[in-house]
Amino acid sequence: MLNLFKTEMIHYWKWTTGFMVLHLLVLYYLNFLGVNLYKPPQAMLLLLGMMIIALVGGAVQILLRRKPSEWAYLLQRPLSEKRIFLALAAAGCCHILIIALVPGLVMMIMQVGSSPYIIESRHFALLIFNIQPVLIGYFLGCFVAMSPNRLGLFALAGALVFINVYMNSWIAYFAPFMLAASMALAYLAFKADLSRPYRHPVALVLTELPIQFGLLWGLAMLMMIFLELQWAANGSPTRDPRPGTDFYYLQMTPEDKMQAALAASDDPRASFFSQQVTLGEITAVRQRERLSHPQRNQFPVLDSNLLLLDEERGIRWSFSHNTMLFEGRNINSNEAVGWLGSEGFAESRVSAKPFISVPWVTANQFVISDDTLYQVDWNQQAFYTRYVNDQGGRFSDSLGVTENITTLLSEGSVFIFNSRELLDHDIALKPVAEMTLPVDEGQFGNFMHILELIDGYLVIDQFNTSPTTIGADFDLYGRAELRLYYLAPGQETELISSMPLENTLEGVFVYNGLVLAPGMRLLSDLFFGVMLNKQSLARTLPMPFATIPTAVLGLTVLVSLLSTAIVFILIRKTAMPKNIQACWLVMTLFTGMTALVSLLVGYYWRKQDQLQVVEVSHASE
Amino acid sequence: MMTDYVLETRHLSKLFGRKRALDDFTLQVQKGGVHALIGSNGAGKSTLFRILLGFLTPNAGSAALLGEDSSALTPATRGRVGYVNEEHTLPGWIRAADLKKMQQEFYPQWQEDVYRNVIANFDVDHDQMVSSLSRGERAGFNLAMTLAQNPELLILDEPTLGLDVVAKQEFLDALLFCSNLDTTVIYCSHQMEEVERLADQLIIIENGRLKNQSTPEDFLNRVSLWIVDAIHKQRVRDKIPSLLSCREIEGEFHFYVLDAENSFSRQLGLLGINDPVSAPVGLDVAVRAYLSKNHLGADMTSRGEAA
Repeated sequence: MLNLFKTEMIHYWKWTTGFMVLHLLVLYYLNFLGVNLYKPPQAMLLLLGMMIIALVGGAVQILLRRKPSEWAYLLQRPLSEKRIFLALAAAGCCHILIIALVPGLVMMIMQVGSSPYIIESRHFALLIFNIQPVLIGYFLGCFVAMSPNRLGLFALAGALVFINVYMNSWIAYFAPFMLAASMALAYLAFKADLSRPYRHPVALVLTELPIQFGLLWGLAMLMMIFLELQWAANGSPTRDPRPGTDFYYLQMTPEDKMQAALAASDDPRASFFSQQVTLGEITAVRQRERLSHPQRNQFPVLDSNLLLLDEERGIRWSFSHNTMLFEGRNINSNEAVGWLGSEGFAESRVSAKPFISVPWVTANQFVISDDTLYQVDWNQQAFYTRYVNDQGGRFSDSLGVTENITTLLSEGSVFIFNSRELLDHDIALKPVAEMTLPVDEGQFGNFMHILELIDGYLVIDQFNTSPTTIGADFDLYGRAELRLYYLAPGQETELISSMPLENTLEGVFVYNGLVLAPGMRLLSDLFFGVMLNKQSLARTLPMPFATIPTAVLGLTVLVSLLSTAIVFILIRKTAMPKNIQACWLVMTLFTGMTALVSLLVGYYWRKQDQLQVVEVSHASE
Repeated sequence: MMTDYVLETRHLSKLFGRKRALDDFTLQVQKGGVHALIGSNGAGKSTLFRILLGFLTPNAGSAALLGEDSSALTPATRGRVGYVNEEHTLPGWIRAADLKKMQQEFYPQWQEDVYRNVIANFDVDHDQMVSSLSRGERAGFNLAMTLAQNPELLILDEPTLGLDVVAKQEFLDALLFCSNLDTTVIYCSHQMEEVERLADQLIIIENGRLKNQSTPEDFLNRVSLWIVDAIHKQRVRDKIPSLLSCREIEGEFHFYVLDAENSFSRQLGLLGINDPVSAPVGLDVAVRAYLSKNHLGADMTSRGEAA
């Protein structure tokens, strides 16, 4: 096995060296241009590029061996198939890692101390963790090149979804699972006769599920195209929504929304508020950022706004997770000039007091930690603590400063400040009003606006608006609401209007995934639920908790039964083992049309020999 | 499973789409000797080898190598089988000496003396990269390494294809050395002079079916050549069912006949042809005539005439 590994290592070393040097040159050039390699989108693009190279590399490694003579030379030796695969895969992984890892490592070492960006241990940790998506790409490339199912390419859909989530939140814990799954796919696909269908039900199911997951997305996308065409001809419900639906209200101006909510309200002050809405100026609440609560030593790609710039003195203050301080460096000489901690500027690191949590920087003037709002005065080189939230719930990166009011979201509240007070650090800052956020707010459609009244504030909030992507949570459809709150200084939040909004989207849009492939839909909900770390079971696995119309359930059962019947007709004449036939039938009952398409296009259609359909002719010699 | 056969297939069928590469193919090869496998291009020889080595799954039937089911060959059994293909596939990116060393480590039963004896026929510089060896050197190197593995069964799939005369001669000399070893050889070739020189058994495969399995002598006894005057051609061609092919040579017609040596002259007599001349047939010609029957079917004579 070691010999085969060595042979494979020698085989590609020139290509590996070439790609490694090329990768290093690209990184060096980007660094030379002053690009921060560890921030989105460049960090994502680099990782995606490496993943694609790994995928192509894995596929090429196998395809070069698939020629019958090469395959025979590879396999015809006293070594088990699995050990041969392990030798090939180990060598392939080494090549890929040399290409991906070495240039990144070299660049990081070069940047330590010489870069305007602080390079810390978490940067090196990111490099290590990014190995996983790259190897996932490699093993999927191998799988696609070896899969007996001609639709093996669809297995990439799961990886694309994963990499999208990974890049947006760098979920480290899910990557090993995906890596193990992609390794298992390639391992199972490697056999002496690559075209031979799987003989073990577990292997069949394990390799079919990722393909059918991709097929579900493909079918859903086809459905989407069909719907778009239909909408183009007959009018789109999202672009031209019916009155009373969530998208109809979404298109309204905040003023009209407030007026609509007030018209539906039975509050005696409604007409008085309505007059003020006509005259007043409405401002949007700045929503929290995607990753608004930084963790210490998080991956650098999750960082945002961790730089302060003292333009007058030519000093860049970068936040260091290691010291929990801003470290000041001269922009031209890169020489360290001081430290900034939670109690202000300091000449030495020892005298600076570290921040308790990783802060955010806004407008090069405000620094927001989990519970404190700070302000920097560059002219006087002073640092002020402006407001401390002692009610719990971390501040998010959502400071929105307008002419009159400033808003800041925490996990459970909206704080409203007077903008004039905020900008003058000599005035003790206190919120003029505070609103508790509704607990049933979903992840979609946070659209909040504020109107300053004579004696308080009106806040309009539309939430749980239907998602516009196929395959989103069932439990969000039809749950949209328009709510109007009244806030008065020093008083509890008052809900003065609550309007349930109709669902804009048709049933076919909502339930197509369920009807086409109920089992795959269930599994994909679970996949997203676990991967996105949704908190309740109903949000992780919405299908069993959703109220699904009886007609949809009936259609789902019908499609599954019909698909199973067709699969039965297709496989009954084949020499497929009985347990595999049974496995296909059970799988089709569960996954419906995706299993049918997988069997029909992947194995059966114009390739019956793979399923060993045979009519032996007994012609005499 | 204990068996006397090194290779065994039962009712083997393999489809590629609509094409039937092997059709109810049953073959048993006894241990020992050189078994030549002959057939025209696309006859199913390579498919047979790929099924035997487990690289293809048949649509029906079974195949076994050294008593073990081909679809589940163990590494131990693979280690008892040597395989040389027409391309002499070897990793070209390493030195010959390194490759030999690696191969040696794979096979505990490696016979260095056999390697030396065989490689002596070829001018292989072991410090060279494998890719820089000439085709003949590469073939010899491959054969030497395969024989040194001391295989019980050696499968050679057109190993001399593309070799020049000298290289081919050296290769065959080296292979003859193998006949002294306790190795069964399955030798697939289109070169009849090689088959004639090496083969103890002749296996003919055509259109995916086994057509003949016998010694070359027995096969030659089945095929006979009759030379008839041109004026009788039409009568012979229409009336004699055992006719394989006919060729026009200098105004005479050469009829190749299968399994009908005695009856053929009688049948000619019945047709009023009393002066047929019988002549000896070489293996090359006999096999060609035999295969042409299978190729031509009802249209065989027109092709014979064209020839």
